[in-house]
Amino acid sequence: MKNTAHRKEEIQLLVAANNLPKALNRSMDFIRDFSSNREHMQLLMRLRNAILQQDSKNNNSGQLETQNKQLYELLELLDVVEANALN
Amino acid sequence: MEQNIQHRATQINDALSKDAATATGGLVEFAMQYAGNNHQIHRALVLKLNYSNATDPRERQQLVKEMQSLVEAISDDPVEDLRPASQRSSGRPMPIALEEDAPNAVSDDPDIVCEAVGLQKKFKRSSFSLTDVSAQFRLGEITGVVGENGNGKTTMFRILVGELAADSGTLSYPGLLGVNATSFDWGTVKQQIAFISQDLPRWFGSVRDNLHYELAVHGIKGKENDEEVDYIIYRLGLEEHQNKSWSQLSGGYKLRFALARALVWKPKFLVIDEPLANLDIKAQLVILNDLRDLANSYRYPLSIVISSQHLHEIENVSDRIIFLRDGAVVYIGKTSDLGKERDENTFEFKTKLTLEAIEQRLGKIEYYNLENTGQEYMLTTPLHVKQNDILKAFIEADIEVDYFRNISQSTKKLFV
Repeated sequence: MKNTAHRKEEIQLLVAANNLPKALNRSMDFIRDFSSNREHMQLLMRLRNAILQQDSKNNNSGQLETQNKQLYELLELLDVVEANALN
Repeated sequence: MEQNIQHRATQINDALSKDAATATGGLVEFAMQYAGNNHQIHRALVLKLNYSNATDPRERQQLVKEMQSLVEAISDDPVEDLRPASQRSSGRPMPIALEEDAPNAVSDDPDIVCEAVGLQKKFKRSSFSLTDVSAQFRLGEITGVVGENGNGKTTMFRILVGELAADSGTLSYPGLLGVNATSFDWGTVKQQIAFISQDLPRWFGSVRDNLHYELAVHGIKGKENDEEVDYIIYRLGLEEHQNKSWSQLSGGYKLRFALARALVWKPKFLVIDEPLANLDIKAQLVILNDLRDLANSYRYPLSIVISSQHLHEIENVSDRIIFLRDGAVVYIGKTSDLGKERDENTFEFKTKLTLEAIEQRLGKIEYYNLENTGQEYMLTTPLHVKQNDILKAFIEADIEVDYFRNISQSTKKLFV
């Protein structure tokens, strides 16, 4: 068994390593394991589709900014799920 | 302690100036350790990602400046609690992990999904027998079952999932029936077991429709049905294929669909017979890594039993290994214990050289035996002779190899 912080850190390191497909899969597992709020998974699905679409495009600065914004949203969502799981 | 943080910050910024590609890992580590808020950690992660994607030198320079500014900001106002982040943010006691060899009786341990004791099965026509197979299968664990074709793997699987009756021996499912169950109920047991056979049967309709149906059969309807189907489709990478029919899918995606159909209703015991046979190496690794992650789920852990001829891939992902030969268990135990009590090392390799040529060139290396197994060469050495010693000797002796592997701690040795 692993605690939520360890699981979250695993995903954060995958993002930093630019392994976005795996990071998003593990994010799905994370939310499934630690959240009972349907909206968390719904938000993740929207972010997932957007991030993977951006990931496959050639990055100009506008697309990079958009992808960064989505990544920050993903990382914040993980923080929220972790915080809720601890309460 | 503050001095240490400042010193570390200076080191990282120097490294970023000299070799940012290598130093970005240090930046992330620093942020995770000392950042005063989550936004700084997120920024470090995203900057590292952006740097790895950047190709324009000016863009890279700009990113290095941003990373260095972040390091300074963190060191100016570090977090107060200097425990590692993984300990820091956990506000409750860590879940207690079950010990591997808990002294409880089998029937008291709900983590044991299935236990087989002394299973025997004799086939009169073929004279093949499965003899004295005993094993425990636990939640959160992957058990790899290996052995040559015709040695009992499928027979064992069919007995475990209730498709075939053993002649003798016992099967219990404490994790499925409950530790206090007083009677055996195959109906309850089978509702929690998913079996994927080697030959994937044909189905009709679309991927998505079949998954909806599978869940409905298990009593899950409405919005929950939709959400679970969405989860498994996206999780197993089926989104581009969800409206396809059986004939439109490649072999790899037929397997992914079979997994999706098995997993969508959250079984506790998943038995998969030779799934890797028709997959390329990349697809094998993706499937196995997914199974590893899903078995370890905190909320929905499951026990997975998987057979394969792809020994190294299975050994890499399995917690336990069962090796069958002629229907009997030759090895059963933790994968990490394989070869622990060995008194020699074993290496296999392929080369165009003849046995005599290799023997001549290997002069200085201490070894017990060198033989040609037909497919590759097998070299056994004393324990103190390590992989690097062999590779160094090969280079010095000009022995060109197409393939080399240390199988000292692999079931591959048991095949020879």
